[in-house]
Amino acid sequence: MSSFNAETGILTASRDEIGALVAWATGAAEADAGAVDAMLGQAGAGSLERPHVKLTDALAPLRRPIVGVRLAKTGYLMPGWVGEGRFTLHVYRNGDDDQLVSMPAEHLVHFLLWLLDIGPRPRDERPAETSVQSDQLSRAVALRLGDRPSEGLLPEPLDSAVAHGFRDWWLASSHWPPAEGTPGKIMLEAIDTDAGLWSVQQLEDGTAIVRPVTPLSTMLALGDLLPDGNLVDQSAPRLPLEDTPVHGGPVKWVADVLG
Amino acid sequence: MASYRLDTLGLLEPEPHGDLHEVAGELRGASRAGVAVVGVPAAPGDTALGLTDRAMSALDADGLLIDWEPCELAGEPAVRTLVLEQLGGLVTVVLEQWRLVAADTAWTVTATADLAAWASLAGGLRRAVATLEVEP
Repeated sequence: MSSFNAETGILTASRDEIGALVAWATGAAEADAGAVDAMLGQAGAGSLERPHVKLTDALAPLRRPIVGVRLAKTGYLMPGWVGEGRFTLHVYRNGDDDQLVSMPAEHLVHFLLWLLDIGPRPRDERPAETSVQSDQLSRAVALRLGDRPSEGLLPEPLDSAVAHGFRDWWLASSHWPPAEGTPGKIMLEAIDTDAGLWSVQQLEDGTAIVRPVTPLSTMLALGDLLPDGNLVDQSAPRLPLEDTPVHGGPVKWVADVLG
Repeated sequence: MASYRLDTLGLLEPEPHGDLHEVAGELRGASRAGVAVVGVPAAPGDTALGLTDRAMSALDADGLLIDWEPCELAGEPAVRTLVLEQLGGLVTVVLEQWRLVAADTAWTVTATADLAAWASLAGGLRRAVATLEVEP
């Protein structure tokens, strides 16, 4: 049963229904416009031709995205878009009550800090770097996401932090049409534990470097998901269709471990 | 009431505008960046931790406490907090604050700037705050 909050502009509907709306709005995938129209009508959000003004705002970054955002949290990947000064995210919940949430792009970092529950953490001494096998790290994280034991898979003290104080794992990436000679994407991966936050840098040789990070540095890093204007190709009309995120879903390596 | 001295290090305006020593020179931002120093008579039993606890308990939904730590400022025990605040629906600002009790006065020292400018300004603002002296 879909619904629409005309005050906040939040659309609540099934994952498939929001996925179809996203596919239609971005133009990056096939969609059944009739079914989307029926869903919007039932929710009181207008129609594809004449959407409610708040839904128009929410869809603006999908129609002309400049930055594509992918946010993985708690084992699920969620697509998001920045454009026309707004940020919209398809928030994955239980599948039958997913949400399309939109806000001014300026609110992106504030929203992510809230969503990822970034806040004060202990300041106990931790090793500056821990090198681990990526597959072992993934396995430990996946097991903990499934609330299963992971002890013994990683070097200490990371092993204890993950096995006994695991809070969450998340990955946030954004990509955009880059200005000449500048990078066009950024990716942040982190493990959140009672002992503190850890950044993860995946290397091409199958290892990963895990480093302790502070809430402040995490906040600043999340701010980089929104590129400065000089990093974006200002002549690009939008993020290319092939780079535009549409669907999310379970993170494969998590689903593989948890069966 | 006690007073304070702050070395603005050439980074801040020497004279406060209201309570705020604004960042000197041209700075384009949605909010005013700088360092504010506010003192009010301390109540009996006030401590840096108590002041901080009260302030953080009063944070609204637009304010997020990112981090805190005990520290020292002006030779007194202090608590430093870092808050991200959404102002007016469009501007996101960082508030790094120190709270302490000195010379029977409860002090709140605030370094602030737009989030987008924080990384480049924070070091200078902290250096200026570190020069704070309280005069009875």
